[in-house]
Amino acid sequence: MFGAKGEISLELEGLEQRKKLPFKDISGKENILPVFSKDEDIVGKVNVVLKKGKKLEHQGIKIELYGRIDITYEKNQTSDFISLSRELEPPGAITQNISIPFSFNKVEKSYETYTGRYCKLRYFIKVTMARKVSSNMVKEIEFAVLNCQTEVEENSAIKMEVGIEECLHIEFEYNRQKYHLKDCIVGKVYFLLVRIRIKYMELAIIRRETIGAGAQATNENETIAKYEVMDGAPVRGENIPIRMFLGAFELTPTYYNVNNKFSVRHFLNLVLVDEEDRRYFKQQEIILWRKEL
Amino acid sequence: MEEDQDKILEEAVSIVKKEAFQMQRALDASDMREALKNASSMISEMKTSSMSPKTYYQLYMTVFDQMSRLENYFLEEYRRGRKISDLYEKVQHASSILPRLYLLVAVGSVYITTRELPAKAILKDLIEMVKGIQHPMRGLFLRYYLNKVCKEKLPDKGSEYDTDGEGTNDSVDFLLTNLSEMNRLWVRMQHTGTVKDKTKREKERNDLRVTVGENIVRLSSLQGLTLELYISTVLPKILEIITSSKDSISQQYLIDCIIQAFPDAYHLHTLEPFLETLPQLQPTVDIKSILVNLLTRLADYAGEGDLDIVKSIDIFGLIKKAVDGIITEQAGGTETKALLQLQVAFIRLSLKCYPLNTQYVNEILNSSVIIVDKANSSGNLDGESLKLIVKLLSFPLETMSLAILTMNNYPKLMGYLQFSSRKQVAFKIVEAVVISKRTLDSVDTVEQLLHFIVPLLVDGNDSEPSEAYEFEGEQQNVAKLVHLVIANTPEAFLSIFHKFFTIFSKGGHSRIIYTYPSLLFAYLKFLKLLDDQEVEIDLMETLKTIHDILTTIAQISPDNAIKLGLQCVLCINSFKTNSNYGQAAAEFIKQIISLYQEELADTNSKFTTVNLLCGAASRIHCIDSGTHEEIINVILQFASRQLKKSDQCYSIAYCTHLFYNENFHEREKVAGCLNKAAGIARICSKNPRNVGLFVTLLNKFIYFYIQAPGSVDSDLINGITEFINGQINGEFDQDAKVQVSEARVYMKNTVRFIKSRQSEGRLKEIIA
Repeated sequence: MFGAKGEISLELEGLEQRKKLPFKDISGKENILPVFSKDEDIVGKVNVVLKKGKKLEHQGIKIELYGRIDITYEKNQTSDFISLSRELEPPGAITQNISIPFSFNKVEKSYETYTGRYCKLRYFIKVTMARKVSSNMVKEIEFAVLNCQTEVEENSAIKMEVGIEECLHIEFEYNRQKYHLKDCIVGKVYFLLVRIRIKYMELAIIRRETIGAGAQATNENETIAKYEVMDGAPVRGENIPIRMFLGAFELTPTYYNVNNKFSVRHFLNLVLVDEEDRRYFKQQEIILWRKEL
Repeated sequence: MEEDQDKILEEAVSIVKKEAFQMQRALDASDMREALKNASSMISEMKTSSMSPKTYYQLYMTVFDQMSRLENYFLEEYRRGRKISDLYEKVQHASSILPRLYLLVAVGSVYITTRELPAKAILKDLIEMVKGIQHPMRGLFLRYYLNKVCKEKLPDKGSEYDTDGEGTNDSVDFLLTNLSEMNRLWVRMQHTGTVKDKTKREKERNDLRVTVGENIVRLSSLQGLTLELYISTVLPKILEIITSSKDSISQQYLIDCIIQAFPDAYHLHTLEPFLETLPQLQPTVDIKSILVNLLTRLADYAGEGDLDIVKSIDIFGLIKKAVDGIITEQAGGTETKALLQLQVAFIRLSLKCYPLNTQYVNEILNSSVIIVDKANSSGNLDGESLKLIVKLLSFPLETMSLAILTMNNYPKLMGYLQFSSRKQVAFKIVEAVVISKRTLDSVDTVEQLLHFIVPLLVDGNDSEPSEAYEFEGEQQNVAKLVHLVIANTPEAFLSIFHKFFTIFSKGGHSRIIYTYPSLLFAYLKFLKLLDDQEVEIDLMETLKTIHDILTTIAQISPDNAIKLGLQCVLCINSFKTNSNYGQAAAEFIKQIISLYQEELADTNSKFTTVNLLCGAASRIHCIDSGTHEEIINVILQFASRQLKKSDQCYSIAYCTHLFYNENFHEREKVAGCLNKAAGIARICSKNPRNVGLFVTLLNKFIYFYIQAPGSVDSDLINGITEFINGQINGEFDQDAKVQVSEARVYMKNTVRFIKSRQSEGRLKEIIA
């Protein structure tokens, strides 16, 4: 319409020093986002730049911080677990370029930025300049939150013996139950009985998004990594080593009950495929956690 | 099928080359990520299951070449500052296992080079991780690759990678583990697929065996592999790997690998555990050929010297036990040939290790007899086996010569041979004795020897005639044996000779013609020796034997009998100690004379013989004078009755010596003979061919002119000379050219002799 009289923009402070990482959005496109931890203040400023000789009247400028969850399972559903708003300017007119600082201090951002198959959790700051006649001037910028955890002491190995009678009997072992995201799963599979013609064996990581909570919760599984650990058919007594570097995959920590909306859990799936392409598998949950950025 | 393989290979190789090209481009651009991706795709071509081992090997080699470029790049990257541990992790991100493990091994080998971690740790990790490939062929090749790239990087003794002095043990562990795992994979191939593919599968397995054997080769080339380590760890572990596989192809090959790869001295020190393993192998494993290989190697080794070890280890006993076990189990079956091959190898070893131990050889011959006997009664004694028996008999003979005569099993084994082979062995024995010039000094030895060589001596049931030249060679060698006889007492001598005589007498005329003359001379030589040593002895028995010999020869060849008889007479004549056998000599000579009269018909042989008789008779002194005179008269008669005049002339001229020698000096009779000869010569003088006769006559005249003055008139001599000169310088027929020119030479020499005497002031009356 009659041409904008000015521009509003939003910037976060100290971005040069801040770690930035690529994050996929729901369409799979990668964005580079600055990364914050849960108790860091979000500080920045809003800039209004006027076109030469113009004056900009407004109904007030506000800045908002959102922590938002989008669920795209069955029907789209959006909920904000953080929604903070600050008045930056009362209604009035801006006659020269200004820069208005803002800051959200001590806001606990406990949930991590996450893009799954059906669930997405993101943080963003939104500035709104309300206008009387023209539409509001709005700007959003997204930032990411990743929270490192400290190592839990109790972390026992996973050991299991499984089998199909008279057909296949194996014993497998993973060195821990809890792995950080750059960790390495070390284990072995011991073949006690092999009566089938195995073609190969692989280890898969399945991500399970649980949407909703309680009785209505639904689970959606997605295989996000596959790693062949054996080629060919072993015989009884064979001991196959497993070593899988998690750093090779794009993984997130395990999230339990994110704001009562969803959970993300991970399972190691040991799959044996025979020559008729029949699959024999066993899933074991592993807990993933973030040790460092 | 072959074409299919070519096509599959061609396709795979073209992809490998394409990816390798991309990989190189990425490496040039320092894009490690992309390079690893290309490398993975390249290696992924080796995931195929549709290739035969030979085709797969070609593919493997193509990839292998590319991998070495990658390894070089990894090393360069490390030198440029990239952390090798990061790279080691990075390649493990590949989700597909085969490329991942090839890349891991490639980085691992570079990791060892950097020495940021002890080689031991890296090798241990690699050998563990490669277990992920359980597909036999892919697993074998991956492990083969592991072996190849780590070849120079094992922490062997003296290697830069041996950081704690324990490196050899680590290398041994690594190689033994790899051997064990590779063998398991290899054996497993046998149990895949259908029964009808068995032959094809076994062929494929054989094509792959070197990949497995490579581990043993590597073990054997470790600098730090001491005998101690071999005894305590390496061999027991390899043997355990071999026995536990329960697979005959694997066992057959790997046992042989041990034999071929490790030093022979190690084999000698581990003979016991090694041999004890053999019965534990699968029944289809050909233990005999394994043993043959082992024994052959040990024999060659023993042949090279250093046999100290033989003293400390009961090599014979250990092997005997193993071999006997096999014989007990298999003798009489279809394996006769192989069993005998084993025996041949064993006997060879025994001869090299214990060159003086006849007992050992006899024991081996004994077990050979058992094998052959059983084979014979079950009809399994084929031509090849018989050849091996000949070998079993020949080897001891070559090494031990006549010591074989103490082996009772030797002729037993010989007995199974067909005549021609028996004869062949017998001939070798004779030859060996003759060549070695070993003396035959006891009745027992000779008896044994004659027993051994009986096929050469008498005809048996299955005898076959030899080729004439062969026969001659055989009998000539047999004949030589008698000259090797030497004994301590005359009695022993004679009884040894008698053994020969008894057996020779059964040989038939064809052999006797060779053996008797030789034996006769041996007798004469011996009698002469006795006489020289002044041993008084009753010769009657011996002379009877000699007489028998002569009688037999006379039946076959009177000429020879006469010649030999004369030798006997001269021998008796020469005795000084046992000088009272003149009567025997006279008897001999009388028989010779009757032989002459009754058996000789040929003019030439009569002429030759009468001259021989004449020569002999002129030297005889041991016969009483009456008999002697009779003999002389007979000879003179023979001479005058030669058919040809020229022969008469010659013979009569020779007869002069009957009257003028050491014992007689009858000038008148000499003169009578000369005149008679001259008279006959005159009759012959018309033929210029007879000019030589005159020269001979001239010489006789001159001889007696000097020796028996008064018996010859010088005018007569000058007359003959004149006649001769007229003949040889005059005209003559071309037909007589040869005789005349010979006579010229003779005459020239005669004249030279006369002149030399004249220069001393003698023979002045003679005109030359």
